[in-house]
Amino acid sequence: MSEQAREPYDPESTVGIPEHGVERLERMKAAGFFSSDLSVNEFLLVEAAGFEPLGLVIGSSIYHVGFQVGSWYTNQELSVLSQAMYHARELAMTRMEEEADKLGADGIVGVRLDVSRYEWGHSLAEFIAIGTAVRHRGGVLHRAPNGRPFTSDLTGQDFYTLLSAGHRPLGLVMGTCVYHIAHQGLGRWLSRIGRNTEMTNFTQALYDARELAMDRMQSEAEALQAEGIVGVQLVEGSHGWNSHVIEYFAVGTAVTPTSGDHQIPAPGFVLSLNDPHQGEIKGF
Amino acid sequence: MRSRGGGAADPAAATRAEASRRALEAGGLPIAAQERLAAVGRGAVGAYTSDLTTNEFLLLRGAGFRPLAQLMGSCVYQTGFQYSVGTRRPMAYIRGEGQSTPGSAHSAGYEYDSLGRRVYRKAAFGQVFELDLLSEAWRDARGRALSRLSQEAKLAGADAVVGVHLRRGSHGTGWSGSLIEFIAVGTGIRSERYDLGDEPVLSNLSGQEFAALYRAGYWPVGLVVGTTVTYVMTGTQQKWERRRFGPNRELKDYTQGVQYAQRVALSRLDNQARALEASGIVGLRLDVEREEHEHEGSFSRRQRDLVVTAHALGTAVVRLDREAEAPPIELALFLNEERR
Repeated sequence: MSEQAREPYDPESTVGIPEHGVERLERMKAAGFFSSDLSVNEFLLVEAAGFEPLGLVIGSSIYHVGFQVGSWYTNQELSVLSQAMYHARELAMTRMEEEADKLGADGIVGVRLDVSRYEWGHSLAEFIAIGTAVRHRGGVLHRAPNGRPFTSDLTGQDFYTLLSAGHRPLGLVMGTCVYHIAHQGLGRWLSRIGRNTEMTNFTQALYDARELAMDRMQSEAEALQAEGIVGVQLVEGSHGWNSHVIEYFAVGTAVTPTSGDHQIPAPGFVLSLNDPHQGEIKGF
Repeated sequence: MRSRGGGAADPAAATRAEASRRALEAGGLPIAAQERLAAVGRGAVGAYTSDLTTNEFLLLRGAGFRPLAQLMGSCVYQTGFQYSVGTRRPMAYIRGEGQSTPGSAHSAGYEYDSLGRRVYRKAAFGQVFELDLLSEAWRDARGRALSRLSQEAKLAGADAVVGVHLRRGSHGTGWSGSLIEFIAVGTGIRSERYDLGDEPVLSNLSGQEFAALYRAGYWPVGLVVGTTVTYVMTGTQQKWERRRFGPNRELKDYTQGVQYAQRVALSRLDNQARALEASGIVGLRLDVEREEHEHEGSFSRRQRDLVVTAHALGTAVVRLDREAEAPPIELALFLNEERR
């Protein structure tokens, strides 16, 4: 597999939203009432940035991940698994975006993408995308060029700073690669016994997997005509596969400049009155 | 309460214990708590108690609030049994691929297995049921804990309770009858500037958040919570799709079942907030537990269904009528050390 591209998006579609969800969104839209998992601080900052929160939006998918084994002595990508990890995340993201559309949103802030596995679910994984749909109060359109609402995994604080410094988020971009790392042969093992040496085939496999994931994320950003990607997270994970199979997942927020002026005011110095470890009890 | 020796205990103490038990049964507070808080309410207690940090305390004082007392509400609750959903009507049908009209391909119905027992007819796609006995148990237990917190606040003469920590405990599985418990702890505060009415407002905001909201022109109107326990009965198609070594495939029944449960919990939250005439909910937390229930289905075939418990909690806020000027936001470099 080489192609990991988003499918075309129809802003009118509600295919992924359950009936009850549609009702909830319609009531929320009609009443001008919002719900949001932003913290109080984030909520106030998003408002200060000129946006109003519209509602909590969720998309999820419980996915049966197919089966593929790598050849024992080969470094290779497991394309069936890569495809599953990408497709399921895309399903969850798209469903979340459909909900945001239903609320008439410009975009979604504070997006979290989670994968969970359960003891009871052999080869099952649940993918969840959750965030707060927002709309610009001045009616300035903030959608991405591909017609999707903009999405961003930045916190309310980062969102505010980014906007005040003359950039705006376009979309959450991601790339994934599930890779099988070769086992070493007996001959290699014998020749290395007792010596300090780099395991070059392992190093190479990790490089390959990382590069593939980063590359895919980057081409998504290019498709969005982004200037660059901020807040990239590169996560290595194993979702119940054997020890030689790993997933590299790269995710970040693609941004584009809104003005030539990218200066932020010089920050003042403060001593914070916040308590970083509130409510933490030690020694119990 | 009887003493162990078999002899009668102090009759006055026994009467008090009995009165406390009756008060708890009616959803109220034990006598000792009532007396202590009534003393706070009368101003007969010199020192206040609070779990506010120094900063929270100072910020709240700055906004014109005075801490009164640390308050608590709790409830230990036994849920009943709810084994069967077989005679209920589903609250939703799962939609299959390219099938837009809900429930068209599968009407809920029954069939009889080889032993003549009535069992659900298996449909291609799943069905969603609410386990209302369990949903109701969570709602009632939490309601009692929060109501006790509220009663304590009222006795102490508080206008609001800040920093409410609501802790949920479950002893045993969510499926069979088991014990659940709720503990809500917070600090009662009272405004020195305004008369804010008799009904205390609960919120899980910290002192800092409370002060920030207040300065930006918002006021919390209450803690809102919603719970549902939902049973997702799978259809025959999903069973085939999740076979071993099968291809990549989304499990529609589980996916839509979980989504449905989340939406129901969120709707309940919204309804409560709307009843409080709130403009919105901030700091929402959605907590979803999924548990597979494996049992013998119709004709002794192994059947795997999903039990989804969704809890949602948030603080409802209202924009105050006065046109508040949000304080300007300045960028700053923190001079605090970050401990990680």
